[in-house]
Amino acid sequence: MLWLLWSLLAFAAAVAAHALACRLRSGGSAVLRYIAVGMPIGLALLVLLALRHGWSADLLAGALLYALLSELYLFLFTLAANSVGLGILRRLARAPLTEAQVAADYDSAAMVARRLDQLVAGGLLQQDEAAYRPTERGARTARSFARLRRLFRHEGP
Amino acid sequence: MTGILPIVLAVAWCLAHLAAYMAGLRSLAALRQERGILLFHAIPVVLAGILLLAWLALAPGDAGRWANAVGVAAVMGIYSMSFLELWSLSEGSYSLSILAAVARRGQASKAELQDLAAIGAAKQQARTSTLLHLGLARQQPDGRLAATARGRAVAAASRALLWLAAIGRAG
Repeated sequence: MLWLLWSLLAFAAAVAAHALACRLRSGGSAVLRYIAVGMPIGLALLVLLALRHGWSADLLAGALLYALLSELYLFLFTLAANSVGLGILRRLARAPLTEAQVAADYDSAAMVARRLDQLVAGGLLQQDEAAYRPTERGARTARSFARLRRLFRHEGP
Repeated sequence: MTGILPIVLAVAWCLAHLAAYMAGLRSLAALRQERGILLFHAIPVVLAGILLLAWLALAPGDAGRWANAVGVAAVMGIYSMSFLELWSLSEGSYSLSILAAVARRGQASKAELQDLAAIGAAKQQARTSTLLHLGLARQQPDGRLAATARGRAVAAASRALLWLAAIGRAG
């Protein structure tokens, strides 16, 4: 069961390298930074497992476990960053709030403004004076989003 | 010696599951709702978990079986998590809805996008109710909302993840 230990160690190293990468460079996406550090560590794990175990269930289990943990980590920190529910919960954990205070903290106009800022920072929208326009990448992302909605048969545009 | 057959079967199962969805199941009303699509993935995962535990119980000392069991669980986990993330992202991402609205209009001012604020208001109300329903928050006698012990633990875990990824302003 050494493959299990190697896989867990590789994942811990990827999380540590990601934390470091996020502190060394500002701007950009935390998801892309994890992919940038996680891919080489994953490849190194694959080579190590192949050398030690050859083509076997141990190799596949170790690599697949690393991939699963990485995906789970990406999912959890993007959820923590973007979930309205978790944002409210973090505020409630600091101090009790009335429904009105929660509503004020999550003022709908401010939420739209914050998302617009994030889209501009992410290079998906550009702001010319008071108007927002999609960048080329933003337009591509919007088209992919529309294709995904059709694929999953979601209603609306 | 068990080879890698269980992992190969798990990959085949995922491909068949996806093919069945693409071939027609995606048009079913039940699978166009959050609960339906979640069950579509959760039921096979639970059944596979039970089968794997039974298979391991037959020879608990067989290291090959443990490797295959972890491999099968990882294959099914990666497939279902990826599928559900994409489904959920395309169904309800606030940022992507805003981006799509700007792209449809070609350009838009902040004021013109305020109709999207309704999504934010609906999200906030729905999330407060969900927190109460899940027992993560409770209503105090004075009417204020407070985090329960479980809610504080979840909030602490979420803060730890944000700290790890050095994400400042969030929510």
